[in-house]
Amino acid sequence: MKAKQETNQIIEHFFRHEHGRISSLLLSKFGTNHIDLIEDAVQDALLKAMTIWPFRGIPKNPGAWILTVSKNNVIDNLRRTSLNESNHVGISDISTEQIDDEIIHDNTLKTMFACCHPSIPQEYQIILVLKIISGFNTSEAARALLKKEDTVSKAYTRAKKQFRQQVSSIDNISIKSINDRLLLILRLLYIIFNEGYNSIDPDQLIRKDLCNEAIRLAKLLLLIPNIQQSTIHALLAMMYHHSSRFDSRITADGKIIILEEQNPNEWNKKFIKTGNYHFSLANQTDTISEYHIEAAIASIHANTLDHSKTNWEAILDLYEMLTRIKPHKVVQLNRIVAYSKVHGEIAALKELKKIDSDSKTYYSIKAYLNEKIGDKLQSQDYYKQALSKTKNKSEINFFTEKINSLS
Amino acid sequence: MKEFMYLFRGGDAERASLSPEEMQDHMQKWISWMGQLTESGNFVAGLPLNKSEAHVVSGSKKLVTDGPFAEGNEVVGGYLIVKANDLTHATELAKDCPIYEHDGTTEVREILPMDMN
Repeated sequence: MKAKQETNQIIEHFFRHEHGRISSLLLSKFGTNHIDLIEDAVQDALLKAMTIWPFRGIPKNPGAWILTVSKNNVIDNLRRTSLNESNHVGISDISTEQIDDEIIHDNTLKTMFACCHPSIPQEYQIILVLKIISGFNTSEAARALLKKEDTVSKAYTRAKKQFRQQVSSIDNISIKSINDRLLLILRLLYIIFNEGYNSIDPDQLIRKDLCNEAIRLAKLLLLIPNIQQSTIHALLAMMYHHSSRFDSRITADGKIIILEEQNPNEWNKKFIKTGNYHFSLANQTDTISEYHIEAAIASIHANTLDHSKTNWEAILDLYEMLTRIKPHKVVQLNRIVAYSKVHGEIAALKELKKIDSDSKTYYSIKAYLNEKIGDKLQSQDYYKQALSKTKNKSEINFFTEKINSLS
Repeated sequence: MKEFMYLFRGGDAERASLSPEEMQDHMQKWISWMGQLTESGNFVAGLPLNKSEAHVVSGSKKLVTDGPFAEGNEVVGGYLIVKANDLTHATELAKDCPIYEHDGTTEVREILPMDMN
């Protein structure tokens, strides 16, 4: 009986990941032109697995089962629509037995690089990666990206059109273009991760999945021979270090807990360790990228055991570096927080005046600094402004509570 | 103990739009439900049925028509045979089936034994 139970389990997210692997393989074999057909074929195969396996048991090689059914679905469909007259040769060479992990990974990576074709807009790239490689359906992608389902659905249709037009075959991607495109992919994974991490939402599970997907895909990049690994390790270090706080940032009833009020003992130690591991690998070369600096900042925070001992001088130095290579408003604003820890809130408020911004982050930092120096009235005012800039429920509660506590 | 048959119907429309993750979750529920029935000694047999095509043979002329029948929701998608004390007990066991998540139904029927009473 026990043995039977063991075979009745498949690994977590198996269907989702299989969706990406099999779609990639079929895209490589049949061409991006057939993307709609391939999607339907994989969906049908998974549906069939869901219907049959509970009765028949899980096959010995579940991945090969799904691949065979998907492939047969595609072939049946092509025959039916006879789009494939000239293409019959080649179909038989996808024998499922000969497909090893290397080919699977290879195709998934190629598809990922194809989705990141430079002429496809970034917002489409994200949707393509999430839908094809990560196996999110429209509803999941919408919830993960905090967008309307309808919006995502329309964007995906347009994204697929571009994908078909720009990328005729995913096999055309050479190692050279892989190195050129690596930074685009890292940027994309960085955005996907931040989408999941940065905005706290009642639907935490799907956002955690989004972060985990970014990590999984970044790890996949490490499998590419001769790839510039240092930057990938830096990104992974940053993602693991942030992820260690995923569950500590919010209470059971959905309230935001800011960093300095979190208990470092509750952070995920395994993630911190893995983050440290990637961070040490990232620093084995002289390469310095924005990811290296962000990873260094994240690493200091994650390895803090006592908030009063955080090395803010080091963090401020890192932010100075980061603002030089990535002069974005968000970076400048985050630097102000570090600045206030080193030079005090009054100096930080002065420094903040140099930044011209009208964002939620700007007002919440201004409010926070005023709160620290005891200017309740000003602080309240800025929290109100921050409040007017958000639609996120947890943030609304957070700002409202602040406003009430200050009056 | 008597034997009963569960006839599963419906839920297809919702199932077709599930994401891979949701399909896996749903499948896992079926697997654990059947696992429970096996462990408690109620499970006898069961198989899934192809819903996409069917033939109906009827009349003295043995006329063959294409199924499936009037309503998609009436097509049986699978069956299960269980052992239970009586209809109430069998129905109770059927309540844990995951089919209701997608608007499906379970029909519970007693299988007639070769009983002389």
